[in-house]
Amino acid sequence: MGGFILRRVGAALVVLFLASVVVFAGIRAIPGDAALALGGEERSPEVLAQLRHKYGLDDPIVVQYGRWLWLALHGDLGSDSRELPVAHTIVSALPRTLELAGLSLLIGSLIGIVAGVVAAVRRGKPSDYLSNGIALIGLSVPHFWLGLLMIIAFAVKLHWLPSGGYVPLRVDPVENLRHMLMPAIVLGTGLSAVVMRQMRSAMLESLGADYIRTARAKGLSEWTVVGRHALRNSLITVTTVIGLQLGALISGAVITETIFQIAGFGRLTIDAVNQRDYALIQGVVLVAAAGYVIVNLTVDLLYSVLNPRIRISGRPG
Amino acid sequence: MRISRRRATLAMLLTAALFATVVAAAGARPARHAKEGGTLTVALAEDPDALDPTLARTFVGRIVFLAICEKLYDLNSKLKIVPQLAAALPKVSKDKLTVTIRIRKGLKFNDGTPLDAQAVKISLDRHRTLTGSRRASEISAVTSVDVVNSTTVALHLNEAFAPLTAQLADRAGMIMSPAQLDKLGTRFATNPVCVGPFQFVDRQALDHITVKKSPFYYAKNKVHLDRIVFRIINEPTAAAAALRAHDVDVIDRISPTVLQTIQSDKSLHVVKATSIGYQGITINIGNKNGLLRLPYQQMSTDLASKATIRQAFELAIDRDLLNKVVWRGLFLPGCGPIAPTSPWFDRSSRCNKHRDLKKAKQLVARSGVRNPTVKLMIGNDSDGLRLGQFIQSQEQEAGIRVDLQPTEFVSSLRKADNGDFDAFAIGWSGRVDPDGNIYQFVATRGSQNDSGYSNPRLDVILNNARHATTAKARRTLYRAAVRLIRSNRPLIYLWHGVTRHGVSNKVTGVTVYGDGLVRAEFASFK
Repeated sequence: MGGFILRRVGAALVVLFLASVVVFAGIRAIPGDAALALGGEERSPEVLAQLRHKYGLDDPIVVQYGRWLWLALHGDLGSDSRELPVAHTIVSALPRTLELAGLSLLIGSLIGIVAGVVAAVRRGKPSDYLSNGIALIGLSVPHFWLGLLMIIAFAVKLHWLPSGGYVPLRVDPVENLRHMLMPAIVLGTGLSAVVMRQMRSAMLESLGADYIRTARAKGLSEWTVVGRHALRNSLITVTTVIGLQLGALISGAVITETIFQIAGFGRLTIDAVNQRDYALIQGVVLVAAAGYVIVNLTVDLLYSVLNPRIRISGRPG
Repeated sequence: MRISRRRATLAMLLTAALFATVVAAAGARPARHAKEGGTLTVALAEDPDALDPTLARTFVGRIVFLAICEKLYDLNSKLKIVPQLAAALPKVSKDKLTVTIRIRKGLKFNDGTPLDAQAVKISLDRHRTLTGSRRASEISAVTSVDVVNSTTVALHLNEAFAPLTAQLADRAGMIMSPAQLDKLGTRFATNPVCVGPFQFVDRQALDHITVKKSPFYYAKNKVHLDRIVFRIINEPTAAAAALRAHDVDVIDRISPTVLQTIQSDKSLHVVKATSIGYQGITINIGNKNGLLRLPYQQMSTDLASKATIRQAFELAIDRDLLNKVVWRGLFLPGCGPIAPTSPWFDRSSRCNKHRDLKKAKQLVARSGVRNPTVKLMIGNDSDGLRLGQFIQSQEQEAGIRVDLQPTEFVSSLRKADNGDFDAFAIGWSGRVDPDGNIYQFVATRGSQNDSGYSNPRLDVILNNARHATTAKARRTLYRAAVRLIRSNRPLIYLWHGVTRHGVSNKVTGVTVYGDGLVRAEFASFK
């Protein structure tokens, strides 16, 4: 198990290094001069030259990368175009997106798993068709449309929930939940559809397996057969899907964050790209890459917990 | 029944008094006492950049600075320059090379330290010399600043520079606390301290900036709010929804797409002002090798080489129709760099807002160019595309083919500076002094002369306008300059923006001048 983890962590570090190189070079390949973006309406050549010098943009790209990596390894990600520390900006934005993604994951998974199990157990019956229909709608409805519709209904017309913004959990947990409810539902809708479809397929496969027939032959109750045997095996597939969807959730959060004015990671990334804010983009991508790597690593480890065969095959022979 | 004359007179007087009382009562508006306290939430359309007056570059940042950083001079509602931290308008020496500014007494920064002439010198020197300063070029004429006494500074210039006072009425005139500068240096933006009705509390990127009422402000009785929270809502539909849900009290610059929704809501009202900026089309006449790579060389495109094609291009555009079709009639068609709301606007100048298609066709035919073609660089958003398609269809009727080149904004600036364009649809947010709207765009050495236009006569006029000290002389010179620009067309001016801001009816005292900035620092709740 220790070797397995070490190998995974080593691979993760290589991935992080490669991601930082690709992004560092990639962002500089985007047409348009960062100094022009930083200069705003001030475009005199002297000022642009000063800006290039101030941000080290007039150095060779290898020198720029080396300097950035050295400082990053010492915990300094530089300053963004607001002259605020990048690390602080990211640390402030990250919990918002993580909370949004976490809540969406919870809502989406709960709805998806329950609907998937019901659809599989009641295959061919009205509840199956209903679940499939809801899943289809969940996949088809664009986030921005659903978000705006909910804002008009619950914020503008009924005044039940705020139209957007964010209140930190530590400041006011109730207000935090009120602010996050609509965005989490909007973002979770798509996920619930995906999870429901996966859950239904996995459950159908499990319910048709020999060990389920054996369990039923032993006289176990249907609740035990479905809940303890079929569901547990089916969750392995669904856990993978949910793990992979977390990345999609964070990407999808850009739109949800924009509609609900949450200053999260997604909005920060888009803004940084538009502003050619190199320091912020590099910081954001580094953290995002680290996030992906950690999630994948966690999923791998969860596999081994849920399915002992993986753990055994992972041992050196 | 007979009524005595005395009684009749008395009755008439009583009736008149009663009538006067009724009329006065009807005419007088109910007294709206400003409610003290409360937190005003203002939605900003973008996230400001650094809250450091020396480094700041964004329009939206100026809205926040209104609350926390006052300037030596300010604008009044008629866009006239008035003293703010200065005690009076500056005195200019006879040789025009020394400008003396007297500072108001008893001012305190929001950290409690006093504002004196030394503090003014420190800030102005920082604006002039800090690496990456966006103010350096604005006050480049200033060679040194001397402290005359505790309330007076003298600015020494290398040449007479009439727009200086206007520059000091913007960020170049903001004075920062020396104590805070000592403490934070180039990180001043993390906790800016100036003189202002409010003091900085905190900032979360892309989320909010909070300021609270200052205990050190010299006119505390004018400040009614406890706090202002500037929330960043850069999605117009979300901003409109937040205003309608009363989650915010004011929104900065309503998008035309949501204006009707806000206007139809009875709990809201709209305040508006015509911008001192302009929108137009820059024509590449001589920018062959890049911006400021002098001397500029004549481009060989149809539009650059033939003045008649440029004239036809302009005549084919119906500014009035453009405003109606592209902007739903929300803006003000215009033909020059100075907006009608500016005190510098020349009322004798004529602007034909309608097209002259017949003459445009004749000019194209007379030019000898068969099927003239123009590549027009436009924004890659829906507004840019609408504008481009409108111009394309208008020019087509005059026999000019327009190829649209939608380009991302920062990339378009790069291409413009490199001279890699025929025509470029771009605007300018505007400055209160006409020099700020003209010189840098059309003078040979103008820092944004992407047109590569070089006209020695115009250069002389614009430089004289910088040196002239009387408003009358400057007015005459700018009139001549605008005529020259309009006849040579390095830039074809199309319209002036009209900024509209949504305000909740619960709030009073939110104003906007021609500079387009929402002024909410002295607002209050009803």
